[in-house]
Amino acid sequence: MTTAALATKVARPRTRAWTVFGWFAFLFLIASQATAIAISPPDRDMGDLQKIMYVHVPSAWMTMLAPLTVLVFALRYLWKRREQDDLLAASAAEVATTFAGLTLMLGMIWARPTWGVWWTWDARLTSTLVLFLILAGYLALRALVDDRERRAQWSAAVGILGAINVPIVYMSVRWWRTIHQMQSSPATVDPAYVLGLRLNAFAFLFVMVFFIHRRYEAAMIERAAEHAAEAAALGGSST
Amino acid sequence: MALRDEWRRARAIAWKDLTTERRSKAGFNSVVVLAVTILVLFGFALGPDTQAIRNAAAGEIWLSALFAGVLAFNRSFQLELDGGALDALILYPGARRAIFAGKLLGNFAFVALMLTIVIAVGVVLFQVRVPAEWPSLLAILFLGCVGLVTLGTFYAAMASRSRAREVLLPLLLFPMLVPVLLAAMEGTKALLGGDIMGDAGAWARLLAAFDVVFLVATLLAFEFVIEV
Amino acid sequence: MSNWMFVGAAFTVTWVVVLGYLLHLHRVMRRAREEFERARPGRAP
Repeated sequence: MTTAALATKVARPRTRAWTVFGWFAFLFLIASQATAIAISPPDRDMGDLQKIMYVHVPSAWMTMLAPLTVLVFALRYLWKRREQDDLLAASAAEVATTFAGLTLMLGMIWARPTWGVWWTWDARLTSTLVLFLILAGYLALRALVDDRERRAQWSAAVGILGAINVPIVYMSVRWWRTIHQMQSSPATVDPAYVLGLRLNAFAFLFVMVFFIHRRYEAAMIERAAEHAAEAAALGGSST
Repeated sequence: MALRDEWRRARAIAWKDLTTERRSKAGFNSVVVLAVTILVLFGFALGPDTQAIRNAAAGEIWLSALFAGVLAFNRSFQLELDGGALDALILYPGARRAIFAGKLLGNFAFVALMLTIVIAVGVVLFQVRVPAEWPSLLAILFLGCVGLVTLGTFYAAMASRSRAREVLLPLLLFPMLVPVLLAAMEGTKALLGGDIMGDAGAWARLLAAFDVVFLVATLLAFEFVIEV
Repeated sequence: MSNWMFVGAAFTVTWVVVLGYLLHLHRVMRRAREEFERARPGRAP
C-alpha cells in the first residue's frame, strides 16, 4: 500500500462500524454468560462446576481457530506478498496467544476441584500448552527480527509450520496417554447445555474477530507511522 | 537432469561442511563431551536410585542429544555466515533446496554419530541392558534423528541469522519437536524395556510419518526462509 | 472450597484477560497514533 493510501486510511476517524461491532460483541458476551448460567441445571457428576464449561470450551475453540487464521494469512502473504496479510497474521497470532493462555488458566481452574490437582497431562491441556509455546516462539521471532521483509517471510514460514503441527501434537500426546492407559477427560456435552454453549461460542467468536481487527488496525497505523517517518527523513534532507 | 544436479550440489555442500568439521575437530568433540556431561547431570537429577535412572534412560538419552544437538544446528550455518558465503551460494540456480538438503545431510551425519556415542555412554551409566531387538532400536534412533535434524536445520537457518540466536533456536525448535521427541522417546523406552506391549512398532510408524510430513514441509518452506 | 468459588474464579479470570487485552489494544493504538502524529509534522513546512 502506498504511503498516501495508508495515511488517508489512518487519518479517517475510526470506522464506526467496527466500534459498534465491538460493543455488540461484549454485550452479547455478557448476555450469553448470564443466560447460560441461568438456564442450565447442575450436572449429575460435576454439579455447578459444569458452568465453567461456558468460558473454558469457547476459549478452547478460539484457541484452535486463531492459529488457523494465522495459517490462512501466512499462506496468503507468501502467495501475494502484501504487507496487510503479514500484519493480519501477526495480529491473529497475538490474539491466539491470549486465548491459549486463557484456556490454560481455565483448564487449571477446572482441573483443581475435579481431579484435585492443578495440572493433568491430559491430551487437550498439554497440546494447548505446546501450542501456547509455539505461538510465543512466533511472537519472539517477530520481536527479534528488524528487517520488515525478512520478518514477514520468516513469520509466515514459522506460522505455517506451527499451525500444521497443532493436530500432530494433539494426536501424539493422545496416543502417548492411551499407550499408558490414562483416562481422557469427559468429552460429551449434555443436550441441556448445548444452547448455552453455542451462545457463548458465538460470543467468543465475535470478541476474537473484534480483537484481531483492532490489533490489525493498530499495526497498520504503526506501519503508516514508519512510512511517514521514512518519508520525512528523506524529504527533510532535501531542504 | 536437474534433480541429479541438485543432488550433486547437496552432496558437495554436505561434504564441505563435514570436512571443515573434521579439520576443526574441536567442534564435534566439544559437542559430544557436552552431551555426556548432560547425561551425567541427569544421573544426579534422578539418582542415586539406579532403578529411577534406568527407567528414564530413553528420555535422558534423547534430551542430552537434543540439548547438545542445538549447538550443532546453529553452527552449521555459522560457517557461511562468518564468511558471507551464504549470499553467494543462493545465487547459483536451483541451489536453495540443494543448500537445505546439503545442510540436512551434514547435520544428520553429525548428530547421528553423536547420538551413537551418547547411547553407548548412556547404556553404561544407566545400567541399561541392550535389548535383543537392537536393530529395531537402531531404526528408531535413525528415524528420530531424521526428525530432529530436519526441524533443527530449518529453524537454525533463521535463528543463526538473527539476534539472540542462542535462545531463539531452542525457543522455536523445542515445542515443534514434541511429536518427534515423544515418539522417539516412547519407542526407545519400549524397546529398552523389552517391548512387552509391542508398542515400539506403532511409535516407529508414527515417527516415520512425522518425518515425512516435516521433511516435505521444511523443504517447501526453506525457499522462503533463505531468500531474505 | 465450594465449587462456586471455582466457577467464580473462572469467570473472573475470563473477564480479567478479555478486559486486559482490550486495555493492551488501547495502549498499542494510542502509541501508534502518537508515533504517526510525531512523524507527520516533519513533512509540513
